[in-house]
Amino acid sequence: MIVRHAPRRLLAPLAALVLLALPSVVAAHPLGNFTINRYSRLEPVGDALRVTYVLDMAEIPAFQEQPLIDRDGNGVIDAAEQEQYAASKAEELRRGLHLALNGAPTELRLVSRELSFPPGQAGLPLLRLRAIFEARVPAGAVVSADYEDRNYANRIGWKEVVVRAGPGILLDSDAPATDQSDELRSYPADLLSSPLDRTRAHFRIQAGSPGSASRLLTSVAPGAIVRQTDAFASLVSTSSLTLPVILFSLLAAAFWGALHALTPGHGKTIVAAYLVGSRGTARHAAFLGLAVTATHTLGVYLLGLLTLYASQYVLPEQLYPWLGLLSGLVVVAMGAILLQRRARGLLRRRAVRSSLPALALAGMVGHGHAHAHEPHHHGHTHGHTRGEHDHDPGEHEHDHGPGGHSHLPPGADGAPVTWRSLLALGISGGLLPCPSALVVMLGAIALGRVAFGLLLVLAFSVGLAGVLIALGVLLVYAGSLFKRVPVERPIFRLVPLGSAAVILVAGLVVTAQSLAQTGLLPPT
Amino acid sequence: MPLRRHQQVGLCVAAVLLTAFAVLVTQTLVLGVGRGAADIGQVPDLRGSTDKQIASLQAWLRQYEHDPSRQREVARATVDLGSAYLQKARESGDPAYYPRAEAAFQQALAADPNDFRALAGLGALALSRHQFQQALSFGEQARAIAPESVAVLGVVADAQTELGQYDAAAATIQQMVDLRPDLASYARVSYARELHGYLPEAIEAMRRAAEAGPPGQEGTAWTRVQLGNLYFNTGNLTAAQEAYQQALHEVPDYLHALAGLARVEGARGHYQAAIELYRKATAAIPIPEYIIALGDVYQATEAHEQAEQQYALVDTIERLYAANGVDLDLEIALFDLDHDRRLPQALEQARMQAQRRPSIKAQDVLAWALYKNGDCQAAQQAMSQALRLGTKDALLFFHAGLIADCLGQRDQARSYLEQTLQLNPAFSPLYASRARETLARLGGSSAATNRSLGGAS
Amino acid sequence: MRTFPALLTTLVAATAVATSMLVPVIAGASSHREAPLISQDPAADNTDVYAFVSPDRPDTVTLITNVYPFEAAYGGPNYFRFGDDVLYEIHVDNNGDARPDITWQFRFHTQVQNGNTFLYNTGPISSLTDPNWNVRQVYDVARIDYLSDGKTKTTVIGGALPTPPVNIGPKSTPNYDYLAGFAVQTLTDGSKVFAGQRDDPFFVDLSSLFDLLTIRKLPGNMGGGVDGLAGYNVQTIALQVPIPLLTHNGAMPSGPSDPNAVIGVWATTSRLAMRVLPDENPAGQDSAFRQVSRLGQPLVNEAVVPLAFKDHFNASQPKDDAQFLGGVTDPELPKLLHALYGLNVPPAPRQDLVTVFLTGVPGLNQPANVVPSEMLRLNVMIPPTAKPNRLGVLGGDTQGFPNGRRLADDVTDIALQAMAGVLVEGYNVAPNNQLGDGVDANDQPFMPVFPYVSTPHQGFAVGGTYQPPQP
Repeated sequence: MIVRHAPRRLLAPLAALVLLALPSVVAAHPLGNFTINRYSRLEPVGDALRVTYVLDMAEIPAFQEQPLIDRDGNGVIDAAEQEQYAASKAEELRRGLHLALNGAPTELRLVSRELSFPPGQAGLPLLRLRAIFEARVPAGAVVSADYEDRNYANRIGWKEVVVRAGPGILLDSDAPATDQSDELRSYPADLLSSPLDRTRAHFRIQAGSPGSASRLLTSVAPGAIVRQTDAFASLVSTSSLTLPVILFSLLAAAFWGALHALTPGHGKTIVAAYLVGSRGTARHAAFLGLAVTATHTLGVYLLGLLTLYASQYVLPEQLYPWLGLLSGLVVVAMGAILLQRRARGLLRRRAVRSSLPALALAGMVGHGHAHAHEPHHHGHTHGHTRGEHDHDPGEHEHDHGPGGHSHLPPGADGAPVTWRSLLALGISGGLLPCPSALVVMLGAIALGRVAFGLLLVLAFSVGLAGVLIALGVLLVYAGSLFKRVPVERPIFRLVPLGSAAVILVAGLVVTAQSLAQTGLLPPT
Repeated sequence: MPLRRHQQVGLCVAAVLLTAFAVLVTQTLVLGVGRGAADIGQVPDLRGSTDKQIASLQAWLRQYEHDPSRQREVARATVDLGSAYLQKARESGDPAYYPRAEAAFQQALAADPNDFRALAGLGALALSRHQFQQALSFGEQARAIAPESVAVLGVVADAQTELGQYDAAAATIQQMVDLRPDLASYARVSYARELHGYLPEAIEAMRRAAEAGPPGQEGTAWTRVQLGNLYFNTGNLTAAQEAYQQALHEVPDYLHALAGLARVEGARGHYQAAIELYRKATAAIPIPEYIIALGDVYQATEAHEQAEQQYALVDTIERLYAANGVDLDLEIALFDLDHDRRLPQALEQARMQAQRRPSIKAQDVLAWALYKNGDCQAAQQAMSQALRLGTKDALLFFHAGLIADCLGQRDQARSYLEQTLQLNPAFSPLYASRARETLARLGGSSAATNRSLGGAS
Repeated sequence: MRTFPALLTTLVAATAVATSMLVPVIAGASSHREAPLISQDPAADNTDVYAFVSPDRPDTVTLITNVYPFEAAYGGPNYFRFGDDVLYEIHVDNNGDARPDITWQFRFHTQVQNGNTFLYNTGPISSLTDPNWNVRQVYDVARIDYLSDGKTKTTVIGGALPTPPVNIGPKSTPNYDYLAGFAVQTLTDGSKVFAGQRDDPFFVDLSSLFDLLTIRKLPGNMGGGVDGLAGYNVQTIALQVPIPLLTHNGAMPSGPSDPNAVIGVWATTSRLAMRVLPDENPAGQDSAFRQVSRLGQPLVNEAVVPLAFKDHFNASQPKDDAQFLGGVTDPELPKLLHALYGLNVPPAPRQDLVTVFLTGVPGLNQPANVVPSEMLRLNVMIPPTAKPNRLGVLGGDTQGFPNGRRLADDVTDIALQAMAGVLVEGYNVAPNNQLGDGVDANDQPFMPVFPYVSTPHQGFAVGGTYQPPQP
C-alpha cells in the first residue's frame, strides 16, 4: 500500500473565516457549487461613470483561490494576505473590464473594494469581492459608451450588467436598469427565465452639472418597453386602466405639466420679456399660453408619429437639436426686429417729443409689428405688402392691429400686441416638445394604449398651459403696475428695448445650444 | 369683432390639432402598430440551437400560459422547455438548469398526471442525480402510459443498468432499438455489449451511433468520445485519438474530448501535454474524474504539490456531495481507496452503494474497498459478482488480480494481470507499473507486457 | 451511526435531501453513462414527398423525396449529407393493394480523399472530381420489382453516382448551378436521377405548433404569413421515370380512366437493426433494416396521427393502415379549428377525409378495388396544365394535390380547408374555404427542368462565417 502524507489541510485556515463550526445547513450556493458569478452596475455620477462590480465565487472556485490568498502557505489567512489578495484581484478584475467612450478605450480606476467570505455549504466559504471603479466622462456632449466584462469568460455563472440613470443623466441603454440579483445576493430561479448571461452593455450618457438644462430623452423603438425615467412617463404604464385610474392619471398628468411649466424652458423668458415689453393684456397672456400649449401638444404628437414611422431614418434626439435650432432662429429674428423697431422708435421718440406717457410710448414703440420675415408668416392679412414695411423715418409709428389699419397710438384701440406675434412666440415656445411627453406618447403606442397616451399628453399640456397663462397674467399685471407709477424716468423707456434685447439674446443662446447639439459646431 | 383674426388662428390651430389626433389614432388602429405582442402568430421556435429554443419557449409561455384555450399547447411547451433545460445543462455543465427543468416537469404533471413526457423528464433528472431507484419508478410509470416511446425506454434502460438489472436492461434496449434505431439506442446497445464483454461489437455499435448523429451537436460529440474511450480501453491509442479529435471537430473545446486526448497523451508518456489538456478540460467545469486524473499525472511527474491541490479539490467536491445528500460518485470512492483516504468510511459508503445499486461497478468498488481494508476473502466474493457478466475491463482484472494475489492464488492472479496488460497496458497512471511489477514477481509472461507503452499502437 | 459528527452529518444530509432535492451533481460528472435520451435523426427524417407528371416531359413522372429538416444553410465546418447507414426508399403501389410493387433503394457512401483531415474542402471546388473536395458522397441505386409470384427481382441501375457538394460560398463552390448540373445522371433503365442538397421547397407558416396549424391573420387567404422554411435547405432524391416503367402492365395507359393510370407513392427510410447481445444471433452480424420514417401525404403525421403513436406510424406499413382509421375519421384538428376560431366543422365520421387520405378521390385518383392505405396517389394520365392552381383540386386544378403533389401546391391551405370540411356538402362556405396559413409560395422559384427543386441557399450568404481554408 502506498503511504501518503496527510494532505495539507488547506481547508483548516478557513475555519477562522467560517461562521458556523458545524457542517453547515446553509443552502448550497444556489447556482451550483462551482459557479463564478459576475455583476456590473454602471451609472453616471456627476462627470464620471461609476461601475459597481461584484464577484461571487461559489464553494469550489473559492476553494481553488485559497492558495492564491494564503501566500505564505501557513494555513492561516491573515488580514495582510486578505488585503493583498483583494488589491491584486481588484486590479485583475479592473483589467478585464473594457470600457470605450465614444469609441476610445477608457481606463477605469479603482475607487474602493471590499472582500468577504460568506459561509457556504459543507463548512466551505464563498468568496465575494465588491469593487467600485470610475472613469471620467467628457462633459456636455452626448457620449456613447460600450462596456464589456471579459473576466472569467469561460466560467459558468450568473452574468449581469445593469445600467442605471443616476444623478448624472442617462440617455438610452440596451441593458436593463434594474438588477435581478440584488448585487448577487439572491438569484431568481423562476421557471421562465434562464440564468442571466449578459456581459456587455451599450448606452449613451450626457453627464452634466445638476443645474444644466439637459433633457431626459429615451429612444424607444416600437414595441420596446419604456424605461420609467420619471413619474409622468410612468403614468402611461399603470397596470390596469379602470376609470378611477384614468381620471387620477389625467389629474396627475396635469399636475406634472404644471410643474414642468415652472422648469426652465418653453420660452418663458421670451414670453415674459415680450409681455412686459409689449404691455399685453390678460387675454394676450391667455392666448400666448394656449399657443404654446397647442404647439407643444401638436409637436409631441407629430414627433411621436415621426419617430414611429421614420425610426430607421431619424432618431428623436437627432431631431431635437434641429427643432431647437429652428425655434432659436425664429426667436432671434423676432428679437432682432423688435429691437430694431423699438430702438428706432426710441430714437424717434426723442425727436418727436410726444406728450404721451412714457409707457404708452413704450407700448407704441413696441407695437409688436411682428412682420419679421420668419417662415411662419405667409402673407399679410392687413394688406401690407412687403415693400411697404420699412417705415421711413418721417412717418409716424402706428399700430397695425388685425382688425385693420389703425393708426391710433397703442393702447387706444386696446391691441398693442398682434395676435400674429403672439402666435409666433407661442409656436416658437412650444416647438420643442417636452421629452417626458414624447416618452409618454411613444410608450403609449408601444403598450397599445394610444388613446390613453394622447389624453395624458393633452392633460399634461393643459397643466402646462394653465401655469403659463397664470405666469403671463401675472406678468401682465406686473406690467400694468408700472402704469400707476408716474414715471418719467428715461430708464423706463429702455424697458421695451431691454425686453427685445433679452428676446434676442435668449434666441441666440437657444440657437447656439442647438447648433452645438446638431454637431455643426465643433465640440468644446 | 376685432378679435376675429385671432379666433381664426385659434380655430386653425385647433383644427390642425384635431386632424393630427385623428390621423394618429387611425394609423395606429389600422396598422396595428405596437400590437405585435397580441398577435396569435407568435409561437415557440423549435429549430436552432438549444439557447434559441429556450428563449423562444420562454417567450411563448410567458404570453400564453394563462390562456384557457391553449392549455394543451402550454403543457407541451412546458415539457419541451424542461427537456431543453436538461439539454442545456448537458451542453453547458451548468447545474442551474436542473431546478428549472424540474419545475417545468412538475408543472406539466400537475396539469396532467398522465403526461408521459413529463414523467420521462423527471426520470432523466433523477438519473442525473444518481437517484436510480426513483428514475426507474418514473420511467416505469411513463412506460405504462406510452409503452412505445423511445425516450421513456431510454430512461428505463439506464436506470435498470445502474441498478444492476442487466437482463431487464437488455430487453428494454432491444425494444428500444427495434422501435427506433438511432444514436440514442445504438449507444445503449454498445454499452450493454461492452458490459457483457463483447468489445468489438460494442465498438461497432458505437461507431454506428456516432455516424447516425447530426453533425455539430453535443450528443454526437459525446458519442464519439465514448467511441474513443472504447478504443482506449482496448489499447488502440491511435484510433482513440482520432475519435477524440473528431469529437472536437464537432464541438470545439468539448471538454470530454480534451480529457480523452489528455488520457492518450498520458498513456504515451507525454505528461506535460497531458497536464495541459487536463487543465483545459477542467478549467470551466470541475469533473471529479478528470481532476483525479490530472492529480495522478502530476504525481507521475513528481509534482506532488500540484497533485495535492487537485486531490484537495476532490475532497472539497466530496464534502459538497455529502452535504447535499448526493450519492457519492464511484470515481470519487475509488479515489479515496486508491489514495488511502478515509478507508473505513469509504468501505461503509461502498457497502451502501452496492446495496442500493448492485451494478458491477459498485461491486467492483466494494471489492476494492474490502481489499484495501484488509478483507481479501470478502473482496473476492464481491469481485466475482463484479465479473459476473463477463465484462472485459483492465481495471476490473487488475483488482481481481491483486485480490487473488492477496489470497495466494498465484495462477489466478497471474492470469488476471496478464489479461489486464493485454487489454490496455496504460490502463492507469497509478497502477500500470504496479501491475507489471506484480506480474513479474508472479513469474508472469512479460511478453504480454511489452505491448505498446512507448510505441503506442 | 456511532459518532456524533457522523450522526449530525447524516441528519444534515437527510434534511438536505428531504428539504431540497434541488442541488444536483455536476452535470456530466456522474459515474454512470449519460447517453443522450432523445436524438434527432435528420438524415433519416422524411420531410416531403412529391409526385407529378413532369411538366416539360409529360411522358414521364417525377418522384421526389426530401430528407433532413431544418438544414440550415450555414453548416460549416460540418456539412450536411445523407446518412451512410440509412436505406432510402421510394415505393410505388400500382395496383391499389397497399403493397409496394416497385421500390427504388438508395445507399450512400462518404469518401474522404485525404485521411489526415476532417475538412470538407481544402480549396475551391470546380468540378465533381476536384481534389480540393475532400469529403464526398456517392450513391448506388437499385430497383426492386415485386413479382406476382411473391418473388422479387432486384436490379442495380446505378452505381457510385456523384452527389454535388453543398453550396458553401463563392470561394468554395463558385458557379454552383453549373457544378450541380453534373449530378443529374441517367440510370441504366433510362430514368434520370439526382441526389443532393437543394432548397427546401416546402412553404408554411411555422406558427404551426405541434399539430395545431395556427393562423396568423384569419381566415388566412390574404397573405401575411411568414415562411418558416425560407432560407433552409434540404437533401433531395429525385427520380424521373418514363410512365411505362411505373404502371402495373408496363405500358402507357390509354387515358385517365385506365385502371393502370393511378399509382400510389410513398417514401421510407430505414436504419440497421441490432441484436443487443450478439450471442443470441449465430450470424453475429447486424444486417436487417428497420424502418424509422415514412411519408406519403404531407401533414399526415401532424394532422392525423396522435402524439403517442408517431414513432409507431413511422415504423408502419401502408397495408396495416386500418389501425389509423380512427385518426382519419375522427381527427383532432377540426375540433381545434372549432375551439379556437369558432368554425363550423362537419361531425365525425369524416368519410370525406378517408377519400383524401386513404383511398383517393373516385373518378380522379382512386384505383379500382383500392385497399385503404395512406399514400400519395397520382393519376399519371392527367396532363400537366399550363396554369397550375396552388390550391390543386380545391381550386379546380385536377392536376394538383391531392392528385399527386406538385412543388407549388399549397398543401397547408388545402389540408386546412379539407379538415374544415370543404369537401362535405354544406361546409364549402366562408370562412372554411378561405382558410390558409398566409404563405402561398416558396421563397425561391422552382426550376423548369429536372430536378425542379431550386438551388440551395448559399451558406456564406446566409450568414455563415466559417470559411474553409484556402490554398
